[in-house]
Amino acid sequence: MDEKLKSLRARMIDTKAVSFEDHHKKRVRSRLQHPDTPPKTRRFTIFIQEKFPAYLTYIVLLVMLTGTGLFAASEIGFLYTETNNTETKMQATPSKEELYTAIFQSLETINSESDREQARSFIESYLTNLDNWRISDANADFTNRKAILAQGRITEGSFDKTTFSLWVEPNSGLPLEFVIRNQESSVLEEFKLSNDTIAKAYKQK
Amino acid sequence: MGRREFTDLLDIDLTDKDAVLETIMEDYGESVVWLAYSYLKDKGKAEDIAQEVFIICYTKLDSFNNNASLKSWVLTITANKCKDVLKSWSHRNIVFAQSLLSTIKHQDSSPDAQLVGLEENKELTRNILKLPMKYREVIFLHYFEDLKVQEMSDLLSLKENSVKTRLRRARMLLKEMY
Repeated sequence: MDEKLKSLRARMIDTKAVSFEDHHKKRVRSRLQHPDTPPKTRRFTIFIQEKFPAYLTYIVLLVMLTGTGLFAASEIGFLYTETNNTETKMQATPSKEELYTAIFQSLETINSESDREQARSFIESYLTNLDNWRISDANADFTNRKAILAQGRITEGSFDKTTFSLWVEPNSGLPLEFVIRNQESSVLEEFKLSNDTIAKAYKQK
Repeated sequence: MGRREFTDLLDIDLTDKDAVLETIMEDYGESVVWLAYSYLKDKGKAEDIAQEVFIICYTKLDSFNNNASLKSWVLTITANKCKDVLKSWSHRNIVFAQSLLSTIKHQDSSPDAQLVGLEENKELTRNILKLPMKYREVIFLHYFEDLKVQEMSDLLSLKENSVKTRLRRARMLLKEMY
């Protein structure tokens, strides 16, 4: 081993792993003469060969960071805001004004005049004052169909302490059923739109 | 062309920077590029570093202490430059990416892929390059550059005993490789 090491210079140079040739010296002189010009130490391919791995790493890191960021954001709930908003808009509880207007407009689609007038009377009597009622369930179940449940209190006259419930078809605004109950929860008045009328109203719409 | 010793340079006018540059490139070009290669294990980078070193030598020749060895000065600049490169994030990044690529391509990215010459010389070079840097540099400076322990101690800013210890361990490690 010692013998080998003693002639290390000759042995390593024999491998021609690296050398310092005239063209290297020329480049040094050239760079000293033109210090402002960028060094032409490598050809483009060598430059790419050396830089590409670094750029690849940057890209991979960027993708990983972006992915992690997106994942974290989605977990926290920052993402899909627009989608959620859209869904929320579709399923959102309408305001009382919107519901009131929708119900009133839907009355025109009810073919049966008696049904229409009964519903109109109820709406005008109990929903006009928006302070007297509230939307208690925007996703209520009404005989296996989705409905908006509005509930309120009737405070006038002999109806004091009487409550009412109104189920509204969310898309059309049709008043599907309303029920007036007394303090003991007994039904005082009830109105239900027939399936036939609902179907016709849908058709008309 | 044989290597000239430091004493030959005493005849050179150090104020003539161009002449000094030509001399050190002629005399130490090989030493510098090989020292850089022993640190970086990359032919292209070693050649680039060698050019950088000579440019630094030219521009900082005024700071050279006339009583010191010019060769040691040049080699010190080379060693420091290489260590800076090795420490740089971009170099580590490139090495990491290249190792990834070579793994993907199932290619041998070790320096010995570029070696020619006698098999035993290639093996010796390969084994030296496999040594940890602190052992590689002392082996290289001592056996390749014929530097004495004291010169190595100055060049590497180490105590002489540390240099000796490293040399001894480096030899042991090399023996174990055979």
